[in-house]
Formats: sequence, structure tokens, C-alpha cells
Amino acid sequence: MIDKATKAAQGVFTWLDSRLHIAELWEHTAGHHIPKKSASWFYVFGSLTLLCLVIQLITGTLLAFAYVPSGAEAYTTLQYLTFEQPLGWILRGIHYWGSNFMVAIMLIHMTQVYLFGAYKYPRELTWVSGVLLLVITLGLAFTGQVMRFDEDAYWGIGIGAAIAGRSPGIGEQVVQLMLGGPIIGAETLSRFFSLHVFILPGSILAVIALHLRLVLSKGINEYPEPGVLVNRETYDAHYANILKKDGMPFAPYGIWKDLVAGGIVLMAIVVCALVLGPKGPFGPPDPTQIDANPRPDFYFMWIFAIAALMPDYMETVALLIGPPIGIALLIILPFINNTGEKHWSRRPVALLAVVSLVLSLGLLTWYGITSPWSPDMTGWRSAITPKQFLEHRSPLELQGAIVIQQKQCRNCHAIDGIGSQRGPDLAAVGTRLTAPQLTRQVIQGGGNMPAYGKNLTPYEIDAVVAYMVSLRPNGVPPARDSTLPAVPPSTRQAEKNQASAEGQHGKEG
Amino acid sequence: MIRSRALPIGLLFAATAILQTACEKRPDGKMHFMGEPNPAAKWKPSEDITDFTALYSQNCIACHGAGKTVAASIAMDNQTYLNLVPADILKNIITNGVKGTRMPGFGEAEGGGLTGRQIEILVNGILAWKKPLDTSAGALPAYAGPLGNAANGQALFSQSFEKDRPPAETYLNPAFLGLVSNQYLRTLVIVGIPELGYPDYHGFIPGRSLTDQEVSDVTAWLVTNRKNEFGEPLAAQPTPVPPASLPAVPPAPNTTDAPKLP
Amino acid sequence: MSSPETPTDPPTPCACEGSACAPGDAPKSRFKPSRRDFLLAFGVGLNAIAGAMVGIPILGYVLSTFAKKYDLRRIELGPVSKFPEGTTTLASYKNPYSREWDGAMDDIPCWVRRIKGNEFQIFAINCTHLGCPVRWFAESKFFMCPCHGGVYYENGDHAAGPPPRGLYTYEYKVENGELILMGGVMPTLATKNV
Repeated sequence: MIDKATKAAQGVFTWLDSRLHIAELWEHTAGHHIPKKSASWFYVFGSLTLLCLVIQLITGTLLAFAYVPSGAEAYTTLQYLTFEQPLGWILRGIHYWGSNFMVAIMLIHMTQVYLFGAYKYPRELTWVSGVLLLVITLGLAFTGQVMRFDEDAYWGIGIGAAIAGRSPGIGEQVVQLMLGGPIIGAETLSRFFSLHVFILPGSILAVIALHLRLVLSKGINEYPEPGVLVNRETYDAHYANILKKDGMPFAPYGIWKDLVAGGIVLMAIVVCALVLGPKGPFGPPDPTQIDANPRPDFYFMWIFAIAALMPDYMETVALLIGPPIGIALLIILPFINNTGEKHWSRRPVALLAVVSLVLSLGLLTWYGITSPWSPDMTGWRSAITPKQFLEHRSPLELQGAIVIQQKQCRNCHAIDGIGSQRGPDLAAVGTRLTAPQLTRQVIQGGGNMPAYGKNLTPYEIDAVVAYMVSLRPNGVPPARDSTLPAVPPSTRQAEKNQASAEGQHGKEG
Repeated sequence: MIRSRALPIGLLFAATAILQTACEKRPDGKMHFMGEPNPAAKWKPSEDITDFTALYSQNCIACHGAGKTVAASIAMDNQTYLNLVPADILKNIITNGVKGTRMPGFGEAEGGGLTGRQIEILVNGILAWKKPLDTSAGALPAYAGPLGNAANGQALFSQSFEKDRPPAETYLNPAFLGLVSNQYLRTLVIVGIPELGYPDYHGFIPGRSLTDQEVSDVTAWLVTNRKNEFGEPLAAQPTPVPPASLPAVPPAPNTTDAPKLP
Repeated sequence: MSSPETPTDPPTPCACEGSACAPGDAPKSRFKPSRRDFLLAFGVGLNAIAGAMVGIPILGYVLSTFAKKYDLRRIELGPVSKFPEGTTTLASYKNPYSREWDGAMDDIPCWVRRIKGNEFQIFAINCTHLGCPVRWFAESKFFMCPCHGGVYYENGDHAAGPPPRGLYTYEYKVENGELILMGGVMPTLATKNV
């Protein structure tokens, strides 16, 4: 009985194989030989990225069941997907977290490939196609952010247009090409939809085919050993020798690590979706709803941070020329560094480059998430002042504390950590600046602070300066004018001079 | 054999435990995954915020405090103030602000972004804090009143202020007087900011509470000390008594420019 | 499953292992124009022409915005009495280039500052830094941007922060007590006349 069944199954397989050549396909793909040491946990990230893409393709296609890419309806359908469509929120969550995981894992994969010298001879094109995949993935990430068509998407497109508008000479044309017209509208969304759903996924599949084909035809990188140099004349024979001595088929002997890691990543994506849920949608894409506070998703936070931290004169260069130069450098990397050491321990410059890149991107991203440069538009009426900064103050100083709220100072300035971090915290400002310095700073501004001169009455300036002079820890004297002769603190002469000169009433008075 | 069974069972338990911790009970009484978007948290335009606590903490708390939050201006949950201020005046102040002072208008006409309904909610919410006031030590003066006798006010003023209080002369700082309205001075004398050591009408002078007339006198004394930015005294102007129903609040002499004679 | 490749030449590209490489493709010893060559050249040429016939409309369709000129259009903002003197208020207008399926997007906001009489300033909502929506604060008389902290004065001049210039200003005129502005194009640093 069992024999019969086996025989029948064999018959079916043989029939199919003689038509589909499955066995041959298997041998050349999953069954391709890899160096035994390459079956390493370090080598799982490529398959993980691919796995994420598959998740994205499935969930994305399914989200399109309900999503309508129309300016008037996209937001409504998003809300439908999130709140009404059964399990719609989980799919949105998986798609959102899947994209985050995909970008993150792809960057890890790239770092690993770079540190293991896998881009060197003869795998230059594998690397180049990988760089293309990076660009396409980031394109998918950006256009995907727009698919979540809420206020962030609307103003995100606006930011994109503002960056494009900086292109020299053809700025206007580039903006109009991006927006599909002179202004953000329905055609803009349709354009991004087409990119996100047809053009970019199509391209990514094509380039992945090339990438995988190259991985198969050139073989997976051997596990690098310090001191083993890549030489164009001898490498092919060297690699063949490794496979001969120590090769094994990827499936089934190497694939288990990919399977385990893949399972973990899949679970992590689903758990993130279940626990943290999908992002947004926030407010509707209505430009008159100007309470918007647009922020990109995490993968573009570093650009957002660069835009805040760059000096003006470098900004256009950094935003427009920086990314193409970065991509170009990545593309030519295997051609300028084609042979030699593969192991990271013998490539200090490479290691340093990775460390500095990871550190700077990581810090910029973290900075972008905390956005200490962003004013808080509601700070002036919601950021409170702790009691110790109001006690023992004169009526004028209290009016100063009110002026600081009412004139929107608190939109940028925190007091004792409460409020926006855009400007310096005012909690101890009285120990840093004298009354004349404070007056000058308030009137003339400077250092990213606007000049309040025209916008405050003399009495308001008096009040706000008096209050700021009083902002210092107990027992700490106010800042002293360094041009005045120093006097022993016990006399407090400088203080008294200053107080009487300014007509101030410090709390010690 | 035992091991091969223990592994899947253990995994199943672990998975259930993980999923269990990812759940929370929502107001609808059912268990939900924490990531499931809560329809209650659906985005709504700022005009649709009708929760008093949210409105108060988004718009008022920074200057007026409440509860444990102390602020630089008169606290809105101060019982003396709540018993003093007429509801329609409170509503008018919130809607239109007080010109010439730091109080901005929150109504839509002033660009403040609160709807009439939201202001109504704020007024009702603030007045809901009101409790009967113990006036056994002295009757509560009227919210508004004419300026009284400045000389009498000066005499009262000079006996005021013990230790640990802001020195009397700090009240007379021309910049302070130039920034506030007559009504603010009157309200401050009556209500004070007890959290910050500014006495109310019970504690303004030692031993007894100020009467309505005395409050007017002290206010008049403060007002006569107004000076323009060059130190020239401004003549104290008699303020008309605003009837409680009339929403006008007398402006301070100092509006947007340097203080001028009105 | 046993190893399919001999270890001596595993990484050789396997381009010719299927049936793709027909035996007839052997290299020609010398070039002799034949009927077959002509037909090949004919086929390639025909497809080149056909390709152009398909490609030109496609490219033209995609790049149509390059050729099209989007002028600033006349937009009515309503009676000047809507804007009290000495104030800056948020106004919005229907985008003249709007499509029916634009939804709320065709409502474009702008800040209208009425200095006095018929003297106005109309600012675009977009920060000149990266296009975020600036907000007006009547108390401190500043426009502030929530993204990177750009600040502008009452008259639109740059006051602080990263913006490279003052706010974009629309041309306007007052006709029969109606405020009219010239707009409809999203202003960026490349836009002229704003």
C-alpha cells in the first residue's frame, strides 16, 4: 500500500519534473553550494529583507482592497480600514511595521556585506544592484508615507516639493513634475500611488531577480579570514577550492538559520502590529487645518534633522547634492576598492566609516525624533512654570512671567525642562546674563531668536528682564558685568549697583 | 519523546503569554490588543474638543494655574475670585481678552481659536469649582468699583505688608502698574495670589479685612502711582463703575505703545 | 540530492545550460549580407520606429508638466471688510487649478494682513524653509513654523531660524471693495513673483 502510494507520487513528480524541470531549478537555486562557514547568522539579513518585501507585497495588495487613491476619499478609506474593516488595522500595522523592519534589516544587511568585503571582485554588480534596491526601497518608504494620506502626508509632500524647488534652474519644473500640477492636489496622490504600487514594486522585483541571480552565479561570499587577500587572478580558483573542500548545499544545510531568523522577524512584525498598532491616520489632509505638526517616518528623520541643523548656506547642497553623491559613492565603491583584505579587522578605514555613519545617522535620527529644535506652538498657553520659579517674586517679576507666556517665549524656551527645547532653558538664565545683556537679547534677538524690539512695550521689556534676572537657583547671585571691577561677594556691591541702575527689584532686595 | 512534546507546548504557552500581555481592557468592556486603534482616540478637529480639563490645560493653565499648578496670575480656582467674578464678565474676558493687559482673547474673532461652545465649557467648568465662601471675617467687596480716596489708600497701604511678603514698594513699580488694568489691581487687592504670598483682602492689613471702600482706596493709591516710561506721573482718572452686566473691562492706560494719557 | 556542479567550476555562469543556446548561433566566419540579415535589420528598424511612436506619447504624458505653464491666477478673497484693519487673519480660497476629486485639498489657506485701508500683505501659508504651515501669533506679532522653528515678522520678513528668505507674498489688488490675489501655484524657492 505504502509502496504503491510512493510509486504514484514518484510518477507524478517525474511527470511534472520532465515538464517543469523542478529538480534542476532546485539544484541551481535553493540547492546551490555555499561555503560551510558562510552558513552563518551574519548571512541571514538578505533573506530577511526579502521576507519583509514579501510581507509588504501581500499586505499592500490586500490593503488596496479598501484603499481608494483619490484626494477626496483616501483619508476616509484609511479611517475605514483602521476602524471598521475587520482586521484592517492589523494589516495596516503589519504593513507599517514591515516597512520599518525592511528598511532597518536592509541597512544591517548592507553593513554586513560591507564589513565582510563581499562587494569585492567578482561581486561588484551584486553590490551595485543592492544599492539600487536601497534606493528603490527608500522610494517605496517615502511614497508609502504619502499613501497614509493624512496631514503628515500632505505637508510631507510639501516638504518634498520645497526641497525639489531648490534645484538650480529647473526647480519649478521638478516641483510640477512631482506634484502633477502647480499645487498639491488629487493628481499628486495618484502619482505617488502609481509609484508606490506599480512602478517601484515592479522595479524592485526586477532588480531583486538580478540580485539573486548574481548571488547564485557568483556564489555567496566566503566567510572572510584576516590575511586572505582577494586577487583577481586567483580568486575564482580560490573560491572553487573552498566550495570543493568545504561546500554544502544551501538547502537544506544552510537554510535553517534563515528560517529561524525569518520566523523571529515575522513574529516581531506581527507583535509590533498587535501591540503598537498602525501609525495614524492623524488629521485629514486639509491644508486649512494648520495645527499640523508634520513629521516624517523614522527612516527620513535624519534628513529632517539635517534640515534643522545645517547652516542655511549649506542646506540646499546637503539636501540636493548630498544624497546623489552618497549613492554615487556607494555605486563606485566596488570599483575603487576591488581587491585586497575582506576581513573588517584588517580594514580600519572601512570600520571607521561604518561606525561614524551609523553613529551620525543614529544620532540624527534620534535628534529628529526628539526634535529639540521644534517650537511647541501651544507652549505659551500650556507649558507651566514650577512653583520655585514664581515664589518670592515681585509683582513686576510675576508680570514678567506672564509676558513670557503671552509673547510666546515659551513656544521655544523651557523653564526647568518644561516646554520646548528650541531655545535655551530659562531656569537659570539670571546666572548667565546680566540685565543689560538680557535686554539686548530680547530686543535684538540673535542666535535663532527673533528680535522682539518692535513687538514689546518698554514696560513689557522691563517686566520680562526683571523676571529673567530673578531666574536663578537660591543663593546664586545674578550674572555680573565682567567689565566692572570684581568685588568680594560678601559686599554684593556689584549686585546692588546693577539693581539700582536697572531699577530692578531682585528677590534679595 | 518528552522533549519533543515539551517544545511545541512550551512555545504555545509562551505565545499565549505574549499575546495576553499585549491585551488591555477597553471602556467597551472587551479585551483588545493594545495596538488596535481606539475609535475614541480618532483624530478630531480642535473645535471638537469639549473636555473641560483638556481645554483648561491646553489654554489657561500656564498663566492661571489650578489645583497643584501655581501660576503667575490670579488662580482660576481661587475661591475668593470665583465668588467675586460675575459669570458674564468671566466669559467676556475669555472671549475678548482684556486690551492693554497680557490677557489675550480666546474667541474666534480675536484669532484665539476657541469656539463659543468651548468658551462656554470653560466658563462653566471654572465656575463649577466654586464653593460657598466663608466671609465671617469680612464681607466680600464688589467685583468692580470706582477708584476711591488715594490718600486713604496710601495710609492703608503703609500699614500693610509684614515680613515674607513682597515689599510694599514693589506694588508701586511703574512698569508693573503700567502693565495691568485698574480692574486687575482691584481684583489683586481683593483676591491676591495666596500661593505666592500675595494677600487677599483679609490679610492685606494686619488684624482685619478690607472693606469695599478701602479696596477702592488702595486701588486708587496704586493707580495714582502710574508713571509713563519717562517717570512722569499720570493723572489718576476716575473710572466709571461698570455695571456687572456690562462686559466692558476698563483698559489699562498702557496699550501697545508707550504709556500715554488716555 | 547530490551536488550538481563539479567543484572545479562552480561559479561559471550557467547561461547556456538550458535550451536557450540554439546550435545555429555558431559564430559566422565572414560577413555576407543575406536575406536573413536584411530581415533582421528590417525588424529592428521597424521596432525602432514603432518604439518611438509609443515612447513619444508616453514621455510626453509623463513630462507634460514641463511643457505646461502654470500662471498665477486671479482669486477673489471676499470683501475687504472681512479683514479688520491692523490684524492678520487666516483666509482660504479655492485653488484655481483644482480637480473635482481634490477633496479638502483645494482649500488653500493664506495669511491676510490688513495694514490699513486698502494696504494689504497676503502671505502664503508655506514656510520658505521646507514648506510647513506657518502660524500667526497676534500677541508677539510673529509667524512661527512648527517644523524647524523658522520665525517671521509681522511684515513677512525673516526673523530667525533656518528659512532662507521672508514669507512668500502674493500680489493683490482691491477692486470694488473686493480683495483679489494672484495665486494658485504652490510657492517654493523656485517660484517667481512671490
